[in-house]
Amino acid sequence: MIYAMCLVLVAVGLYGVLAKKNIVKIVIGLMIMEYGVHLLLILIGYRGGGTFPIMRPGQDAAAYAAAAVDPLPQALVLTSIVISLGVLALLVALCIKLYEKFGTFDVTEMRRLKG
Amino acid sequence: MTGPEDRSAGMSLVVKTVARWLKGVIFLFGLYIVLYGHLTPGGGFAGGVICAAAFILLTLAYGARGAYRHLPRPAAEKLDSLGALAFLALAWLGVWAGQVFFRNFIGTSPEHYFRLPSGGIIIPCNLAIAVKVTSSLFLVFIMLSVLHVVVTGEGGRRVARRRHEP
Amino acid sequence: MSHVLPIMVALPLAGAFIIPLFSRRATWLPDAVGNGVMVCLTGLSFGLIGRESVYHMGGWPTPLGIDLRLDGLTVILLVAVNGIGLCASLFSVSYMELYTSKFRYYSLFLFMVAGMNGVVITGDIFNLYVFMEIAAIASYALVAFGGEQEELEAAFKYAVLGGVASTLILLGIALVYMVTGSLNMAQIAAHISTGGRDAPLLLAM
Repeated sequence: MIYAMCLVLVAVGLYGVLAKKNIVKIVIGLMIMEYGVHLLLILIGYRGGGTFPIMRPGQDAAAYAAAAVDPLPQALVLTSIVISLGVLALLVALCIKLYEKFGTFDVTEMRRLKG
Repeated sequence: MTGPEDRSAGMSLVVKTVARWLKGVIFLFGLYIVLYGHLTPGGGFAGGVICAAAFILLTLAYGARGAYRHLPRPAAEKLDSLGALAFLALAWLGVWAGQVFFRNFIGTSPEHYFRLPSGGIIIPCNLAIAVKVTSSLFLVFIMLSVLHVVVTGEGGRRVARRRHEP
Repeated sequence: MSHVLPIMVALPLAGAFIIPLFSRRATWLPDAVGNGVMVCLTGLSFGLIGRESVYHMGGWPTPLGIDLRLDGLTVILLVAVNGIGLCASLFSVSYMELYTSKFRYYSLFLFMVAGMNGVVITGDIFNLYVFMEIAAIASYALVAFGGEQEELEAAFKYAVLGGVASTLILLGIALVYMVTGSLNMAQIAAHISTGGRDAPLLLAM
């Protein structure tokens, strides 16, 4: 059920990318899509009633492995957050340069390319 | 305790004083998160972001010139590349030590578990990544904020650019 | 010769980081490093024809670690990518004189070659996503390289499209991990072929 809410978040972001005219809003929609997918990735690793996956000194290894939440999706999401930071920095720099060149943030006025 | 730039560009005196006090604390906290990355949540990227936040605070409070006195721009560009090359060199040290690429060749003994020396290769890797991330994010912030755009003329079609270093 | 597979990714990355360090003083350096790296890569990929191997990164065994896998399809793609990259970098020695910051072009180009080599070599689906993003971000910057109006507009539209596509690929990777419990391509293939087909997996594919 909660996975469906993450997919709703992805759908909201996709609506933002497709239907908005301001390029800053398009970038925000893309970021909302990425947040939704990161949330889905972390929720996949959840174990009902589990604890955080950091082992304390003196803890038994088998008991830790049976009770802890899966740490692998957390590592995946950390890497993916770094990647989306790079894409965001590039897109924001492109928005600034587009404003300099075109004088507007409206994407329907940026139609110099043919096809 | 007033510095020489307190009446020039940037923010008010309160912000400048607090930033001057806090820059060391924030940087030290970021360094702690970097070094203990194999024991507590954090590591190279998160600690690097916090260290970059110290420099960004300096940029906001003092302007770009004030931040350049602490980390000049050519130095940040060189540190960026050097951090990444250090990470690659650490990965190749595994091959040179007779084993596989990226191998953790610094072994740890059980008495060091849960403490700082149990990291092996992870600690220098975290430090290299933190150096790269700090300088990269500081450069990104400078590039995106130092350039100001003035739009003149009707219809928004004529754009004049004014490069303004506050 | 057994450590060739990481070299195919690490060599262009090292070249891409060395170029901005020294290019203020030596203007011949980006050309030399860029073309030299591409020649080495093309030579290595021709030398790999007819081999098959698996390289465990970091020494971790298969269920725990990331593998680099070399088989027939990989060799064909490596030869294609590196050969075309060599031709492009040889051509851009003279073509890029039109632009001022040539060393940035070579740096981005080597990043893209490193990303594409990584996509072809890797045997782990999340590693595939990471290298694909490296190549994609380098290509967004390369499309916007000249700074003219058409180039910036094209770069923005390409970047948004690429970002949406990458997000959906990550969604697919998340669903595959949810069903199979592993990120290794060989284990996922084994899991699918033993009849583990169900609705979420079909949606992911």
